[in-house]
Amino acid sequence: MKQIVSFFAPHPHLEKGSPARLQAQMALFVPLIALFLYFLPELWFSLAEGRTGPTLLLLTGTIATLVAFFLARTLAYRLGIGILLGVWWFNMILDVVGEPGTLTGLSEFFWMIFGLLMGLMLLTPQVYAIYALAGGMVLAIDWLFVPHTQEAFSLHSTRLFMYISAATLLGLANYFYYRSYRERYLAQKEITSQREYLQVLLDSLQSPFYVIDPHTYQIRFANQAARALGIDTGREVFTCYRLTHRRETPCSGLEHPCPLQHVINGKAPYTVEHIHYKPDGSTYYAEVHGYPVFDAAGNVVAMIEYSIDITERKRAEEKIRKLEKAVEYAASGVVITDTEGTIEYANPVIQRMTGYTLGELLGQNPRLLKSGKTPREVYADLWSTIKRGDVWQGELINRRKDGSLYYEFQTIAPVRNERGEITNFVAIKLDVTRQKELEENLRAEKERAEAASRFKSRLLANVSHDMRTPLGAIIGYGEMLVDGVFGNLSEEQKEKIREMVNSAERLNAFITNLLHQAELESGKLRLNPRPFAPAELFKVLSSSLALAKWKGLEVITEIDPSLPPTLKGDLYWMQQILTNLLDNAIKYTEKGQVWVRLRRMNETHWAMEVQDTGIGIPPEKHEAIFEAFTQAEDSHQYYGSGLGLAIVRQLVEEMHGRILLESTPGKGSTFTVVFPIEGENHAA
Amino acid sequence: MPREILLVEDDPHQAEIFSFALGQTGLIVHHLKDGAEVLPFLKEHAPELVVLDLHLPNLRGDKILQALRANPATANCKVILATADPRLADRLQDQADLVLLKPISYQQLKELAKRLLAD
Repeated sequence: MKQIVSFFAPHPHLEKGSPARLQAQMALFVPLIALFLYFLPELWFSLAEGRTGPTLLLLTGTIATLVAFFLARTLAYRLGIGILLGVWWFNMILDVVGEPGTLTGLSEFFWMIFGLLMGLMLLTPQVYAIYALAGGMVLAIDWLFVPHTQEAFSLHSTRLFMYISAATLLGLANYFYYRSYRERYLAQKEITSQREYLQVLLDSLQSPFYVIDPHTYQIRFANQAARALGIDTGREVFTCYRLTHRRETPCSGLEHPCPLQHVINGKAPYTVEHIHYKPDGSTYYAEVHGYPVFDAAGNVVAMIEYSIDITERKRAEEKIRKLEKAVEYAASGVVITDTEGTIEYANPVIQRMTGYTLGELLGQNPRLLKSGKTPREVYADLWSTIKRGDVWQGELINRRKDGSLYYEFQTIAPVRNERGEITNFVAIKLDVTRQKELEENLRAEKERAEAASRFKSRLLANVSHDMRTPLGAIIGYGEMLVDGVFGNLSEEQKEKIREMVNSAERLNAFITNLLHQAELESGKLRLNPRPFAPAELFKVLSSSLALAKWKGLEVITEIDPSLPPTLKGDLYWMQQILTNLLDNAIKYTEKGQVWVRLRRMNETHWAMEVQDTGIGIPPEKHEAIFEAFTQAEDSHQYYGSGLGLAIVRQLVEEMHGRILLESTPGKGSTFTVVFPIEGENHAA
Repeated sequence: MPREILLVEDDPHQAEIFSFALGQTGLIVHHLKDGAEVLPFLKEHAPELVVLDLHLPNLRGDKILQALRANPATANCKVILATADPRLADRLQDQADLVLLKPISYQQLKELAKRLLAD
């Protein structure tokens, strides 16, 4: 079936309406007419002559011609033509052979073969003309040179005349019709292809392009990109404002001025930025270009509108504008130079910082600000760093336009283009003059404070030294007086002198505590841990022991044999702690004993313990006594600084120890200071 | 050879008190005010006990102590340091037999000197 269809299908060459197709049709039509003109008289003559054979052939030929006519639009027409011509020529052969004395039998046979071949080809009018001419010549030869009967002769004459006339007329008609048709066809073809070409060109524009009627705002012509925005030219007429703005009225106002109005009024191209809608409802920034189209009289008869999506550009511009604002209003100075250092931009801060106006700075080199106070090496380092492509940070001493100096802290970074080449340098500058001054002031202030502190320390040390020496005389002479070195005194005199000596001792203790307190509070306590033998702790106890003896107390010292042979810690401060505790014990103990023990608590800790048989401390006071300027209640008869235990606790904590207190009022107290055994679990 | 004690102290009141306290031991007490005099004195004498103030004119007590310990003749004699400077005393306590912080009690010095000499 398919084969049949393709057999009957139009020949691929024969484009509908093309001259080639017309040619083919005419090639069929002309011989058809000619054959009818030929066959019909021939048939009439054959019947008149009573020759049935040729008559049948002619009938067959007529039918074949008719069939060929109906199939002419297909390839099959060639066969039809072939059969037709074959019959025609066979008829001629019979016609000629039937006559005696034929000259041209062979030639006619040849022409028959030629005709068959022609019939199988696509016949052109030219070929047909040659063919018709040749056929006419054969007939003419037959007529002129073949002897015929009178009757046959006249018959031949008629046939020849009819044939030549018909062939010539049809050939001419064919030729002229074909020519005019071809011209019209080609012209039409040209127009169509031009229009198509134009459409292709405009469709190739990726942005919307359309032509607007200046009176109705209707879009008359649009490219693919414009149609994609929603124009369905087939069904409804779009206006430009409906297409891109979803409006029902033309654009207006400052936000969206109508380009058409501007183009009509100005008779010149106009460009404007609009926000356009896409079919999905989203918007984009469009740069709309309107171009007027004039008629011969110079009136605007149309406007071409071409719009470009500039959303990306707008975003970039927006970003640039934001950055520009940021730079402009930044608290830091910003300078942009080219690679040679020529200033291309300076923000307002720079103008305030340097005193130069923008006009004075642009095109200048920053060396304009050089004061000569910045070391040459700084500039060398700066340039080598940024030329290398690294970021430089540093401080320059620059000079303002008014001649004053200022400190400038700056960060300079190179800016590279897409090829990685350095094109510019950006410098962020901070005027740090004020900070510099403040720093300077602070440093001076700190130095003053430190000097004052040093002076205070020295003063305290000197004062204490100079107070202790006379105290020595008071205590010493007092004791000698009591001892009867300078003669016997009454008991009352001795008692008063003892009081005097006690007061001097307390004054001394107060001075010592004051110095310790000052040292602790200044935060300058520097521990110097070193190994020492436990007995060394008792080396400085002597004066306390003497005091105890003076008061008639017994002081018993014990060293636990299980203690390590050497302990580690700051011996000086440990002695101060022990002295303080012992002094305290003696101070608050009128009679009895005071024990001083060094003992091992456990594997990791050892302790100094001072136990007395004194007035004791009530439990609720246990915490308070470790605070500065606190003393046991009802102890107004004992003068003291109140600094002792506060210092002890502070020292113990500084040395990573703990202080424990057990006390029964009226019975006595035990202070225990626990320290880690050095090297076993911890470094003090 | 009589038993001797050397007292080096520049303050006259202190010197008087210390001399008296040390005298109670029954030994002869020599008193020097000037640090520079100490070393020449020691060439002639061999005191059993030296009581040394640290703030002395011309030659400081710590220097004297150093020289004293360096000399084999005096290296073993007992030394009591008497000072008002606890820091300095702390640094020198290894070299001394006893460190006393001023003000020093007459009674105390008397007892301690006796005890030290008895050892």
